[in-house]
Amino acid sequence: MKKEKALELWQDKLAGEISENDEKALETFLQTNPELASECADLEQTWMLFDEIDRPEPSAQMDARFDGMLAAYQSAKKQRSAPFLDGIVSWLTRSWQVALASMVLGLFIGWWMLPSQNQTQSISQLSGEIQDMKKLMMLTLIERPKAQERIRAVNMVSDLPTADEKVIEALITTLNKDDNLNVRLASLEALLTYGKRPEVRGALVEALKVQNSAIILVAIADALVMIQEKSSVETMEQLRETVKDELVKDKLTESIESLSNI
Amino acid sequence: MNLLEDHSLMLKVKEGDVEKLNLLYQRYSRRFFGFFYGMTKDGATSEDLVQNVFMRILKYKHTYSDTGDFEMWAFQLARNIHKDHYRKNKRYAFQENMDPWEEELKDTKNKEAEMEKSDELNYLQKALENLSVEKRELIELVRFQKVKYAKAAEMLGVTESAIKVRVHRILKELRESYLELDT
Repeated sequence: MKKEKALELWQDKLAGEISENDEKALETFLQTNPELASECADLEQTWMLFDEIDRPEPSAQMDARFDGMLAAYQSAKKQRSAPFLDGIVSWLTRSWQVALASMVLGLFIGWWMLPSQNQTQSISQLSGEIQDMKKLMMLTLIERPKAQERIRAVNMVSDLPTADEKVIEALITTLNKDDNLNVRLASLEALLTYGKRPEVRGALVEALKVQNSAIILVAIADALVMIQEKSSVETMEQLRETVKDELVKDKLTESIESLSNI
Repeated sequence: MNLLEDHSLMLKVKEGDVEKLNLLYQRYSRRFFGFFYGMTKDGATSEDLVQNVFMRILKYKHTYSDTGDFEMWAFQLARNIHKDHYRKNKRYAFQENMDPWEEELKDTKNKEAEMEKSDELNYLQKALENLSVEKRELIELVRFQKVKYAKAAEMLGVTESAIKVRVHRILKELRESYLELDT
C-alpha cells in the first residue's frame, strides 16, 4: 500500500466510511509506518475536537419566514392561474346554449372519468402516503428544542386517523420527560384520544409515579377517572401517602372515590 | 422508490406539489443554517441565506433532474448562494467576542480543565477562521454537515481521492495553525 492510499483510507475511517477489510489493511500498514501512524493519531484528535464546537440554533423567526414564503408562493401561483380560469368561466356563461352544452359535456366527462377500481386504489395509496408524511413530520417536530414546535407536533396527532406504536411511544415519552409543562399537558390530552388502548392506560398509571408537577398529577388523575382505569387506585393510594401538595392529595382522594364507586 | 425519500419529495415539488417542500425544510434547514453559520459566523445572515436556498429551490425546481440527488443539488445551491453573498461582501470581518470568556464558564470544580478545553477550542475556531474560504467550505461540508466524500467530490468537480487528500492537508494545516496559536 502506498502512503497516499493509506491517507485516503484514514480519511474514510474518520468519516466512518471504511470497510472492515480496508481498516485491517490500514492498521497493518500503520504498524510498519510509526511516523505516519503518529501523524494520523494527531489529526484524529483535531477531527474529534470539531465535535465540541458549539453552533447556535436558528431563531424561531426562520421557520416562520419559511412558512410565510411558501404561503406567499402558493397564493401568487393561484392568482396567476385565476385570470385564465375567470376567462373560461365567463366564456362558458355567455349564453344559455353554451352553458347547456358545457353542462352536457361536463356530465359526459364526469361519467367517463368515474373512478375505476385502480383509481380508487391509487387514491387510498395516496391518502396513506399523506398520513405517513404527517406521522413523520410529527415525529420530527416532537424532537425540536422549541416548546412551541413540540406542541404543534403533539397537536398533529389529532390529524392522524390512527396512531401507531411509534406515535404513542413518542407521546408517552413526551408526557414523562418533556421539560415544558404545556407540552406535557398537550401530550396527555392527545393520549386521551387513545384511552381505550391498554398500553396508553398502563402508561398513564405509570406516569403517576414519575411526574413531579402538581398540575400534571392532577390532570393525570382526572384523565384516569375519565377513562375509568380502576387499576390505578392502588398507585393513587401509594402516591397519596408520599405527596406533599395538598391540592394533589385532595384530587387523589376524590379520584380514588370516583373510581371505587364504578 | 420510498415516497418519503428526499428525491421523491423533490420530484413532487417539481411537479407542483410545493407543500412537500415543508418536509425537506424540516430535514435540511438546520444543516444549511450550520453550513452558512460556519462560513459567515453570523446567525441573522445565515437565516437569510437559508431562506434564499429554499426560494431558489422553488425558482429552479424545473431544473432538478429525475435522476438527481437532492442533498447534492441543494448543497450546490447553498454553495452558490454563499459565493454570491461573499462576493457582495468581499470578506468577512470576524468579530471576536471581547468579553472575557472565562466568565461565561460555569462555576465548577473543573473550571481549570474547562478553561484549558475552551482554550483549545478557541484556538481551533480561530485556525478555522484563518483558513481560505474554499478550504473552510470543504471542511464545513464533509466534517460539519457530513456530506459524503463522493458527493463533495462531484460538487467540486474533482475525484474522491483528491477530496480526501485535500481534507487531510487542511486538517494538517489546521493542527499546525492552532498549535502555533497555543504557544
